[in-house]
Amino acid sequence: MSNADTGGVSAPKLRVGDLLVSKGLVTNEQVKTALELQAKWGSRIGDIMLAKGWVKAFDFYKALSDHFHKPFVNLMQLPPDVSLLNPEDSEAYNAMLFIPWRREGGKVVMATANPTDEMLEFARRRFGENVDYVVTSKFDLLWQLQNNHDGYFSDNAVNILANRTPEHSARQVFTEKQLIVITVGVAVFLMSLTAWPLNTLIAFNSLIALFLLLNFGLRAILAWVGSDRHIDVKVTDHQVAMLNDRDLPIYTVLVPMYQEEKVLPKLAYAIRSLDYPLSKLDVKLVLEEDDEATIAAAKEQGLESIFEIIRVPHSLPKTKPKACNYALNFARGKYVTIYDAEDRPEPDQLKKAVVAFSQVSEETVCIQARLNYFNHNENWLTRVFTLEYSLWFDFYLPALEALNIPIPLGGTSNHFKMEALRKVGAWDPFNVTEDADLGVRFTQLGMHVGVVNSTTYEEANNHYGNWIRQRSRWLKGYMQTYLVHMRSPIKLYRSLGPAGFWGFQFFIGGTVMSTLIAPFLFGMFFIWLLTGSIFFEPLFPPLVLYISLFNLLIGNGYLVYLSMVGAFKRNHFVLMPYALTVPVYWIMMSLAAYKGLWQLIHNPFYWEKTIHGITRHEDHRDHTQPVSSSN
Amino acid sequence: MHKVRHDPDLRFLSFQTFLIFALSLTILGTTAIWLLDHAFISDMALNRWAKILALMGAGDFRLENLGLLYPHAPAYLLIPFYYLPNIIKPAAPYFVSCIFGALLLTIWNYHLQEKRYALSDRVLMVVLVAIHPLFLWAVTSGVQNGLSLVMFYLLYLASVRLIREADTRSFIMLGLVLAGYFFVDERTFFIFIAFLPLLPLIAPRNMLDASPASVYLVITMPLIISIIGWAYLNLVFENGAWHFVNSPYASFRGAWQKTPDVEWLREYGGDFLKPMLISFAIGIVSYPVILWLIARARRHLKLLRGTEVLFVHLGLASGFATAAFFLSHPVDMLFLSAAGVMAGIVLLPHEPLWKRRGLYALLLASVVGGWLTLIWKPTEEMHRWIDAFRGVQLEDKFAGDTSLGQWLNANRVPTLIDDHAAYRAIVARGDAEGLLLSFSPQFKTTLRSDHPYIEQIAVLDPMYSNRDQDAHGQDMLTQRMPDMVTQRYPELYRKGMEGYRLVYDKDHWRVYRRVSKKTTVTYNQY
Repeated sequence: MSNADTGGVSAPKLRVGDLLVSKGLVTNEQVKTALELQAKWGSRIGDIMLAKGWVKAFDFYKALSDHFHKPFVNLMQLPPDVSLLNPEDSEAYNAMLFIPWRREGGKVVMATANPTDEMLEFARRRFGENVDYVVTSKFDLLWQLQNNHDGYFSDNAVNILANRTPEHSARQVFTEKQLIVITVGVAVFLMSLTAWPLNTLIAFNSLIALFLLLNFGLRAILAWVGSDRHIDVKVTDHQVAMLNDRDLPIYTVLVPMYQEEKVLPKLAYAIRSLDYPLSKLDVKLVLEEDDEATIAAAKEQGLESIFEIIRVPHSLPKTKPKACNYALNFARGKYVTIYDAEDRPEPDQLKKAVVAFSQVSEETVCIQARLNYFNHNENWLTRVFTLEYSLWFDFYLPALEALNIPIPLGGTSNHFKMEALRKVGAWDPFNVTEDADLGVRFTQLGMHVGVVNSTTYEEANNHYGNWIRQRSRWLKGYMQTYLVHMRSPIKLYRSLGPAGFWGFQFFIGGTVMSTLIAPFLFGMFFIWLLTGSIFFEPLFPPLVLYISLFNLLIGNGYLVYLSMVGAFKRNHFVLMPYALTVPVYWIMMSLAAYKGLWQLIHNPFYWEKTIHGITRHEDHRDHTQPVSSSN
Repeated sequence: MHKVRHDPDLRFLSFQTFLIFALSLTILGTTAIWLLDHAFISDMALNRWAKILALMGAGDFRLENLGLLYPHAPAYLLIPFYYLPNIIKPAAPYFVSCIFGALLLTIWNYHLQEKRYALSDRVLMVVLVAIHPLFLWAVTSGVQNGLSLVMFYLLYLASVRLIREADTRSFIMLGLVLAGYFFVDERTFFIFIAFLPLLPLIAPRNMLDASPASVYLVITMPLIISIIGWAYLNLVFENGAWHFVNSPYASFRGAWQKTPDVEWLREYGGDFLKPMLISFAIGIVSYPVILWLIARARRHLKLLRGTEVLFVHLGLASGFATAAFFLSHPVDMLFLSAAGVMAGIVLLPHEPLWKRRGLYALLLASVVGGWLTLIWKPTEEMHRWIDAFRGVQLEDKFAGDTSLGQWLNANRVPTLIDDHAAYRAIVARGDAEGLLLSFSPQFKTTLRSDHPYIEQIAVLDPMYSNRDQDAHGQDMLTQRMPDMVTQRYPELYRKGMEGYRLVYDKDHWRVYRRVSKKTTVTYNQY
């Protein structure tokens, strides 16, 4: 313990690589390769070897204790004195990989997986000059942190946003004011309907027609703006190649999973394939504690040390954002992104995000990558789903960014500045489209969201029931997001400006409204078409009729066309004819919207789980070998 | 490829823009006023203006009252003119066309400015294009072809963008321009069909190799949506989805119904190759500058292909339109070459001085060539236009209709009248208020009765044929058919009707007014 006594962690004479070789844990060849990678990546050799999986974590940290001439402790057998642990310091524990372990011989001893002067300095500030340390495994540390502070982390994950900025939390579905406005609105409508039935219905119909016209107008503008080839943050291959790996920061990758043990090998393959120094990846497999199958599968995989299992203790609401919030407590990266288990990001995506962040303004705190589907041609549903996503991510989102309209982030592949994410209270655990909500919140707080030209390929839902479940959650989340941010419309207007405000109304609100209205309009149309009934004619005075006809013919026609163009831009040529069937998809969306509306009232925070890994799409890649050259 | 270098200080809205617009409008407006002053009246202009009067004069404003047999965009542009003083109103179709012609020249000036042409060069080029007889004929003949020229220019700009950028927006632009064109000009279908085989010359090779069908689909779809939408409106408001091509009044069929009277169709109708070759020849004579453009583009394969498209496109379209018995004269298609030439000049790199002189010389030669083609077998309408342009005072061809209109204006009582036959009279009357026109429910209700109950009925002589001309210079079949009143009451014009007395009888029109039940009024008694 002499090093600590002298005030710091002194460098031992024998190098870690040599030590590991002398113990027979690695070969000379591996050390040589690790040294080459060290020169390239700028990481410590131990981190490289762990990241590569050449040495087991337990053996490595044991060797590290010899290296520093400190005892190695197994925290599972010798747990820490919990009275020394302070939940408020957990961020520092996690960042510096240590915890106060025990009092021994008048000293407070830290258990660390990363002996540094910085850690000792921190310990001295907390416990006085008499501190020392022992070496332990990173995984023991994490387990202890989770084990001892799960209540604190859980509470943070659930309540931090609601406590800090309750106006941005969806914990309360409807505010009193909103309920009054809705009640008064419905009452006025019913009274008016009783007193002037025809005029009221005409007025209502006029509002719907006008709304749909503007809704289409916005989408037409977005598609036009989004079709500009220079629209998003373009990161070229050359710029990626010019990056120096040594300068790359730690990148946290959160992978929330639930009952998805079958996808694990593919996920590990996708992560390993990222063109990013493995030793700078901080991958969190975020698993619910009751998901024993996936936890067991993750352990059985024998994954490299870059993969850390975060077990999320049971608490309500049991949602993905809550799990991510929980995992965020253990994240160490400068940037953080989320991937779903079945995601296949383009290998250079993290590097592109780093370059993109360097190109945009300081206020840009999130870069959204594009999403698309690898099983796009599996069945009709995956085809039209892909058409929708191509339009959404390749046209709409870049255009929203360009027009300074809040971007409803996609569920995955959004890259955040860690500091900003924590500052805004991270994801809203009560919102079932926490990503969309976060995008709006960022914009409301004066931060920007960008879009980068990199794609993550996901698994398109190929099962109708599964799709309805997923879409009902999305639309319920949009309803939540709309209600949350419309609690104070004036404040929203001031913070977003006119373009942002109206864009929000029509892009978020409009998406929900149009799906709810569509069945009635289609119903009227088909009744008229099949029966020639004149029953609805009084509801359509000339101007309303013309707007409605425009919406029906040009509006819907061009939305079909835009779906086609989305596929065209993506080179999904074979999908283009399927754009003609998109109206059927809209009807399915309406079904999902009503399911979502029902749930919003009866079970607002229920997370309709989308089952992944059900595609019959064959992936012929060898999941044991990475593809990226740099790794 | 020569990309346009955007000058950050370059603004569309500038004094120079205003100057060019004013200059263009002066040239075109003066020509139009000169023509009108010499009694050149386009029958098509009268027809379209009468529809606006009918629309605005009806009890309730319904766009379907305009009829769905012709593209509506030009008609909508006329609506604001309804509120102007009566003396200016009938000239609205000419003014609208001139405004769009001037707008086109102004936009072109801006694009030339982007290519760094000096103001003096731009003024010269604008004047040389504006004074071309085909351009003048198109813009000032009252058929609102100014708008069509703008759309054709946009089509070529989209093509230029496709050549340069080859991005998704280029394809969307092309598709949208074609879709919008459908609402502007009946020729769109032929322009589109002729464009399809030329697309490989300008579309990116890799995309065509990957999926040619997709390239065509993405460009075609908006036009298909427009046509389906229009068919649906016809289904809702007219006698069936394809009414706009089946009706004898449909301008979407061009001169098809008048084939026996159209020299061009008599000679070449139903044929494709000959009329196409002749159109090429006429195109070269009227715009020899196209050859210059091709010569200048020969070093750049993509530019050359783009210019070749310009050369071939309209000739091909003329061939198709003639084969379908649509086109009454090649000039009715080839006048669009003006917009094509303008786009072609924009496509080429900035010309050095000595080559610019060559360009100006060819533009001037085009003016001469244009006159040659215009006087080659002109239609009646062209002939009258040329005479009026030369300063010949034309006679009023429609004095009978004018007289009826003035009489109806002086005797304002509800009158049943078929607007298909009486549109000139409606224009002469100044408005359609109090008239029961063919689209109105009262008109249809009245015609159901053997003994109509209406204050006044105007009826056209069923034997009348005055060789009226449409914009294509051909006899209007509508005038050969009995009007709708005669179709329902065949003896009305000749014998009158029980309960009505004759109150007007001049030229080919008679008007009967209702009297008491017991009185029988006949023509002889009058």
